[in-house]
Amino acid sequence: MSDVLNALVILANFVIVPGLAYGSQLALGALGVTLVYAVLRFSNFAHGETMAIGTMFVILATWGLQSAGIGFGPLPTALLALPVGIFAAIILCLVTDRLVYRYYRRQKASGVIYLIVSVGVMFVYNGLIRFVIGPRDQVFADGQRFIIKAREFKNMTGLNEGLAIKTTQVVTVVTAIITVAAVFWFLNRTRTGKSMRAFSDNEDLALLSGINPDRVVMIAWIMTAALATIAGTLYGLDKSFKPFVYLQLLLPIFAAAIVGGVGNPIGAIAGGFVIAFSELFVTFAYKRVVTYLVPESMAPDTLVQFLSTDYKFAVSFVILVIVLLVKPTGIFSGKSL
Amino acid sequence: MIVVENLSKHFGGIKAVDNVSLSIAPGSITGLIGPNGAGKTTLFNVIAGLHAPTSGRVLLDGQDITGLPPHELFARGMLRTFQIAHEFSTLTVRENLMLVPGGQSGERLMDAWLRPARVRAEEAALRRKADEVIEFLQINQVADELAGNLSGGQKKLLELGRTMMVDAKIVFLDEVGAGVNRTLLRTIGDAIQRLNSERGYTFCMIEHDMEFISRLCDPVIVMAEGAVLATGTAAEVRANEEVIEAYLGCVMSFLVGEEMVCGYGGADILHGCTIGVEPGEIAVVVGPNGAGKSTAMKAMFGMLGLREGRVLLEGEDISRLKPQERVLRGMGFVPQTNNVFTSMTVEENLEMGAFIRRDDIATTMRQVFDLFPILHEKRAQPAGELSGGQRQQVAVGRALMTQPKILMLDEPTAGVSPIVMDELFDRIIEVAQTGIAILMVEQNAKQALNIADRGYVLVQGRNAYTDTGAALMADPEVRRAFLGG
Repeated sequence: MSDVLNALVILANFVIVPGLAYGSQLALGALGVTLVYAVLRFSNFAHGETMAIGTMFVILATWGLQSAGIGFGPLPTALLALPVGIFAAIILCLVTDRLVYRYYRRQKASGVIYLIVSVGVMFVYNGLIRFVIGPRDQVFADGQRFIIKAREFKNMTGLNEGLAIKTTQVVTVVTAIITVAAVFWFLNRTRTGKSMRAFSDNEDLALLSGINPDRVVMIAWIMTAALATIAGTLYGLDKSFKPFVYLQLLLPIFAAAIVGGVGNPIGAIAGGFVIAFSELFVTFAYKRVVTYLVPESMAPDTLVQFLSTDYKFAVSFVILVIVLLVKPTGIFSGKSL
Repeated sequence: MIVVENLSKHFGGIKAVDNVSLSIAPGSITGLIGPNGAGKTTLFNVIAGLHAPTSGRVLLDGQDITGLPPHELFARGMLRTFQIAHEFSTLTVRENLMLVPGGQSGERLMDAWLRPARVRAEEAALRRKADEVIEFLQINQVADELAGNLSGGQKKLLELGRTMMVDAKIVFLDEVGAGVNRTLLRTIGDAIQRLNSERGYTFCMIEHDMEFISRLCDPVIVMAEGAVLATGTAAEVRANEEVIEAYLGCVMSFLVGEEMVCGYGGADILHGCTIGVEPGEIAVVVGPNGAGKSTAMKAMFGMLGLREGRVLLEGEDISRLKPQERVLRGMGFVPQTNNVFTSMTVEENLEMGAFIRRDDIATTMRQVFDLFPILHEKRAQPAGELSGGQRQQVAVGRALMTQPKILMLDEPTAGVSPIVMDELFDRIIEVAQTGIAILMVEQNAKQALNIADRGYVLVQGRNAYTDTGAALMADPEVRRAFLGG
């Protein structure tokens, strides 16, 4: 019996808890991508860099708070800095829209042109990040590191295996839940949110109903910037802030948005967790889990790992390809790409 | 040549032509103009023997021809062309021309068998004549083309050619310039002038294009509300105060799109069409496919820019306003397709309809639910899951949520069953009874005209017929051409 529990604890420690945190981050990222797609009707390749640049703002604000001696007790100071970062990211997105995207909107450019434009925006943001904060890693997580340490867990339960839960993981999941709840409340309960859904559903009819398209676009950018900054900061707290990692995150985020059905907010969240858990399950070494579950004589001498962790991005890719082949509209039937 | 004496034609209570007296001098090209619904076409139809007059008489060279059937008038050298060209589309241009003269020997079975020589000789003569006509009209390049393949303007030329085959004395042209481009219009104008000067034809023509009229016609007769208003040269009638007032005075007070010209890209769809509606009234726009019905609605709602003409709401020019601004002015629009938010619930659809309103919408929503009880039942269901008829109800309900003063519907009954259609029409009547002006385009012309206070028949982007719904239903020509008998 304790063997089974030990096996479960290993799984929880290395797959389920990190998966929940990673999945939440992807879900928030995918929500931003899907929002831009639903309202502005293009795939925003600059979303990864938006996350990075938003996080950068948060880090700068965190440093400011830290040097002023302000902390957030056991929680990371970055959470206090979050509103500042979100505000800066919103300004940046609105300026970008005003300078770049609005021009193409007036031209009634096709989605492909928008996509290429967003790649350009991505490079500009990327340059901006290197210019301001540099290409090096930044660790900005402070406060208490663990909520449950592995040793405490062992002492508490008497099991051989420990379960460590980092503060950042809990913060990630809680923040994600609050954010998602707020987004859904906004979209389903408020007039403005409903008008965004209406605009996304049927642009012409929305115009006929007197919904102001400029306002809908503005709110979409505000939400996107906020979601990107939150997602980026949570990821940066959980791992560390590496400007290049966010570019790589683009693939799993898009995979999450498409798997769930692009343009569909619920799909984006589901997709985030599907991608996160797939990555972790496929690249996890099951050796110790199996060792607990089978008789000693049958204990494996390999790692029992499907793929090396180096290939974790391949997992998103494969899932993406399968979904596009089998059900291009995604699990929750978003807009067909 | 033609003298019309105290002629009247009434359809039910409508005096389409009311005590009209006029004369057409031999060798003249007489123009007949007037605002829509002035009774021009009806007058033509009575003179040409399509309608019997209610009272009065028509004289041709001193002889009473009132009420003679068209074929007898034809034999006397009096012809009319139609606003919409009538041709044998599966015959070539030459064959179309050769068919015109009646009483050909080859038409009789006995002669065709027993006197082949005579038939051949006649046919050869006809062929020569047709060739001459083709030459005259300079349509050699399409002489052996099927008439159905001709452009609108070329068909009009063919109509003219048909009149030449029988050496008509007087030809009535009903909007020969309708739907014809400028270049071809000039060609047609030239042909008319040459027929007049070289062949001594007398013409009487209804026309809207003032430039065309000014170039060709003398005298010009102006009609308004079934009566003759003025007669004179084009310049004279243009300067006439009464005429100006008649054209401007017929402007409807509430919503009207005047002489709208517009289209997509380079080609115009509407060529000066006028549509209007009054509060509490149902105005229906019908016409064949491609007549520009939906285009007219889009133009009036500002979804399509006007090249010429204007849209007036309560006398104010709103031609430059965006659709959203027109919504704020009290106009509501129900598009033909994609007219609901499919992913949103019925209730949310209605809420979105009321987006521009800042006040309490609960009362209006209750009214909509009273009008369409089924929507109340399904208010929490996504509109995309409803049946076609229910969706249309949502669409109409959504548009009503702004409490519009005018509701425009683009084919509200497209794709719904006849029972649902009747039901929808009943609801629309109820809406009109609350004082809202209703302007709708309909494919089901008969049913729609039945409930219409005012009907517009559009053909090739122009007003072909305008009258009350009942009068249009009663007009045999409209019935034949658009309502299937």
